[in-house]
Amino acid sequence: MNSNDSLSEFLQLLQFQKISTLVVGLILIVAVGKFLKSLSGKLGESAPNYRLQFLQVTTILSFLLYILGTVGLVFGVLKPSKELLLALGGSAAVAVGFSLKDLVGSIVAGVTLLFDRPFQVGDRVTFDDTYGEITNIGLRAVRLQTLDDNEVTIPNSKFMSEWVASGNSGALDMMIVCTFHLALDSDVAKAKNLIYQVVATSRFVFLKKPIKVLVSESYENFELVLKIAVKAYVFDVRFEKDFESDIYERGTAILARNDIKRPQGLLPSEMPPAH
Amino acid sequence: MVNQVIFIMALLLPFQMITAQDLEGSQKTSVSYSERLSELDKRLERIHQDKESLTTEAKYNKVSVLWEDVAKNLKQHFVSYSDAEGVNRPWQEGVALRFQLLRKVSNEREQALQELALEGKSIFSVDSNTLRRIGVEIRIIPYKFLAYFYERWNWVKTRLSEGFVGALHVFLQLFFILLLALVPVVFFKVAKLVESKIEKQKKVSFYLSFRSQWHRNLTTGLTLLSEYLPWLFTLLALEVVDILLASSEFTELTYVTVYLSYYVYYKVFRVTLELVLREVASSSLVAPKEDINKKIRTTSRFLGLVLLTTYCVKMAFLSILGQSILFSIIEPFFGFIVLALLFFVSSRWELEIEHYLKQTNVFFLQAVARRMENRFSLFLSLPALVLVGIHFLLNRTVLWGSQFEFMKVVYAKVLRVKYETTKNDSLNMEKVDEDYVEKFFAASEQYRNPKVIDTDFYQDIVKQLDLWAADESTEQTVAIFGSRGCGKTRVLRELEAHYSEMGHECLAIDVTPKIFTEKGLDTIIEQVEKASKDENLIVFLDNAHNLFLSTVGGFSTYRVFLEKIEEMKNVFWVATYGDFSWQLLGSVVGKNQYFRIEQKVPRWTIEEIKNCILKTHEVVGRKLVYDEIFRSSQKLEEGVASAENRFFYLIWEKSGGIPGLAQSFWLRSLRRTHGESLKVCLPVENPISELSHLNQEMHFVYASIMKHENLNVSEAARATNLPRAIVKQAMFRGLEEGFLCEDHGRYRFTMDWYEDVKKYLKGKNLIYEF
Repeated sequence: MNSNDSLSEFLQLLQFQKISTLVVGLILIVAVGKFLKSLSGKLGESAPNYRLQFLQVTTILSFLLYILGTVGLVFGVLKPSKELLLALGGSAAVAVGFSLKDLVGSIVAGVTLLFDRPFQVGDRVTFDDTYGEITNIGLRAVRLQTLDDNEVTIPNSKFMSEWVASGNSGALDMMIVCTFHLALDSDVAKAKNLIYQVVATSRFVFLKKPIKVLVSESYENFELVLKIAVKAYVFDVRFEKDFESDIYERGTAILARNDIKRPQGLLPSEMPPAH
Repeated sequence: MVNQVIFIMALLLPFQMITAQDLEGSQKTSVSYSERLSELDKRLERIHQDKESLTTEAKYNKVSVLWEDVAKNLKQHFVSYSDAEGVNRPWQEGVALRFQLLRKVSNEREQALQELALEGKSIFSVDSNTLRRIGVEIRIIPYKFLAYFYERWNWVKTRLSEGFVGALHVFLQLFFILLLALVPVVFFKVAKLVESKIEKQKKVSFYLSFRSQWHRNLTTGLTLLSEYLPWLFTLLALEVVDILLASSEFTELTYVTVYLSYYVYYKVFRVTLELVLREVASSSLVAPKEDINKKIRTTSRFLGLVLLTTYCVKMAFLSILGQSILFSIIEPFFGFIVLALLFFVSSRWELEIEHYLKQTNVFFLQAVARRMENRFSLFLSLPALVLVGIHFLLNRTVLWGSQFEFMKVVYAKVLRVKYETTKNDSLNMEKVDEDYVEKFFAASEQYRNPKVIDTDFYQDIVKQLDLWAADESTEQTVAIFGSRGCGKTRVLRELEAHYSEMGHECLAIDVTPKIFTEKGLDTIIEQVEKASKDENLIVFLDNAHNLFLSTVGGFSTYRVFLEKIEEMKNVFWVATYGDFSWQLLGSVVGKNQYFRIEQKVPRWTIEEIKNCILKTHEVVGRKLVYDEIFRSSQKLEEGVASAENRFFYLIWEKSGGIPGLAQSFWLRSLRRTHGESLKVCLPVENPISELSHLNQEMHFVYASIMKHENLNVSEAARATNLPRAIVKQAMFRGLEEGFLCEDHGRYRFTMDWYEDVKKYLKGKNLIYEF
């Protein structure tokens, strides 16, 4: 096939009927995608236990819909010949190579994220300095909602080269770690017991998984202190901060009520000289 | 000698169409003849190699040209053979190669035809090529058989020429074929043996069938099995023969086993059809029993025989013609014959089918039955018969499966989904009167306790107590836990009565809500210490979950209680807990620290629930009518039983086998009709979606009540760490909606709502089972 043939065939593709069918088809794909998203939201509301599963399935379905739907639509409506595809493919390779490489890289990374699953929709993740809930894994980028309600968009390709930490890995419950500092001469056993009770009786705790209370020493602010770290699970990641807040609020009050000594901090005269 | 016979047979064959071209080649020498065959073989090989790159049509055309080439000169070598008879061996090999080639190319063509058919392409067209090929197909029929026999004979001759080893090989193959004839005999003997065992078991089950449903089902199953068993064994035998034949030198003999298996299918078909027709006939009762039986037998025999003949003839055609153009022309006729026959037979059963469909509770089937009343019913009778067959099979499967516990669960879940999506028309009807409710609860006392003594659950507790009483065990605690209304208290009472009767010192304590201060516990401990001063004591502690409150310091009383248990060596403690409380205690305090033995109250079976409710109802004495929605069976007496079963499956599933809940569902299902009778309808559903409109804090309050069984406002506020105002609001809303009830300032879930609220809170992960 010479260049004239390719050109004439390419122009045949641009018939009004074909283009309009293509446009309608694409609108339909986007509409179905939106419908899937809203459906998973509604299902998640009616069965909160399975909220994350619904979101995860929807993400996979959306990916398949966009990729297979678009490819199917293009091939089904335009029916390009092998030769034209090769000719266009060559041009596309150059175009992609120079201008769209980031976009294509992100799409490929998106597919990798979908199958490698370092995190899923609904997970609480830390990426770079950002912490929040993954709300969407799209073809191009991942959307993350921070705890102060900002929406952060991160290109998929970023996740290929940098580390990301997921707090709950697809589960509804998630571990929370809260730390209390005590004076060295405080009653540790009593404090440990009280903090355990505070956590075990919180309305946010998920008791299907264990509660751990660990004691260690730490050098904080030029002072040696005792550190009690309590590890427990919240029943729904959405209540992560409420759980933390509840533990600190009640924990501090209980420790104070039971005269458990806390570090007082050093007086300026007691502080080591600054060098 | 055999060569001559084959040759004479070939000359006498009626389909020979020898052309001038055929005779022309007959003068060629054997060497050139073999060379030509080798060249054809190479052509076939080339097509075979190129088949990936060829389209199906191209492959078919190429193979067909070659096939025609091989087939058109079939006569030639017989004529040449008469000239070259006994002259040289290469010529004989040529004949063998020729037949081999014919079979090879025929197979290749059949395969190409099949591929075309699979692609939905027509292989028949009215043109000279197709017509010529049909002619060739007819002409080579005898040669195909001849080729087979010649190849077999050639194989025998070659083996025999190898001397003793070859002869032994031939002998072993023939012996193997003869041996295969014994396979069905062996299987028949085994089938007889199994049948006699089944007969014995059937007799035993029959006598026991008066006692239990399981044996009734077993008897029915065995009767059914004994009808099918000999034929299933024969089929298995034929399958074995087929496999063995495939590994022998005489693979073509598998054609014979096909006819035999058709006969077996005919027998199985007859038994099954008679079963279905009997079911259809029993529902309609449109004719006297004797006439119906005769009609069933005649229909099944007639339909079976015609189908058998049709399929045998079709198979014969296929064996003779193979996959060919001619067969593709003939094949649809068999389909038409079968279809016409089915239409004819089903039209004779039109009335019975119509009656059967009408009496199902499936809307679609009833609509079909109504259509059958019209004048075109003849055409509808066959599809309707198919629907009857499907309905019958599904019914049987459900019936058969209902004897297994897991199938009961599945069936109950399906029913629940089905009925939950069904519009409840009974909502406008009047609820059951208070008089009935009062009498029902009064009478329920005596039937609320099924044979708990016989259960493993109960016996395990008794065993533990007996060991302790006999000083053979140091274990002195048993925790009984379960959902609300599952019968924990009843078990406790049963145990108390049993051990009091045996002369043991017993003390029953009901822990009043809520004792979570050590002072409150002291009263209980004092009581126990006093009673156990001089002798061993068994304490039956009901509602032990009232000994804690989920708040900081709220478990200290319970911890003290556990320590006291450890101290009092001569006291055995049997304590009951709500299931969520028990799990909460397990997580926070460590349940196995002192209560190492725990027993969950088993859920009741469908039969127990059904007996309990129906017997209680009998005492009250009102006539019951089941709503149409539960009816589906055909015969009146079965219909009632079936409706009853369906209803109780539903109740069982919804209540989770908890008797208290089942009773609540029962009362919610009853509607008043005329006079004293009551109608059993779908139970009225709770508007559980109302809960989702309440805010999250209220849900925490409800989860807390669920975990503690009961709470007052201040306890709930402490347990949830929420402001009292919110807790109060939650309690009021609960009372308003009807899912909470209040008693002396304490709130708990009403029995009617308990399961629904539990499900809702579980869905939100606020409560969970371990």
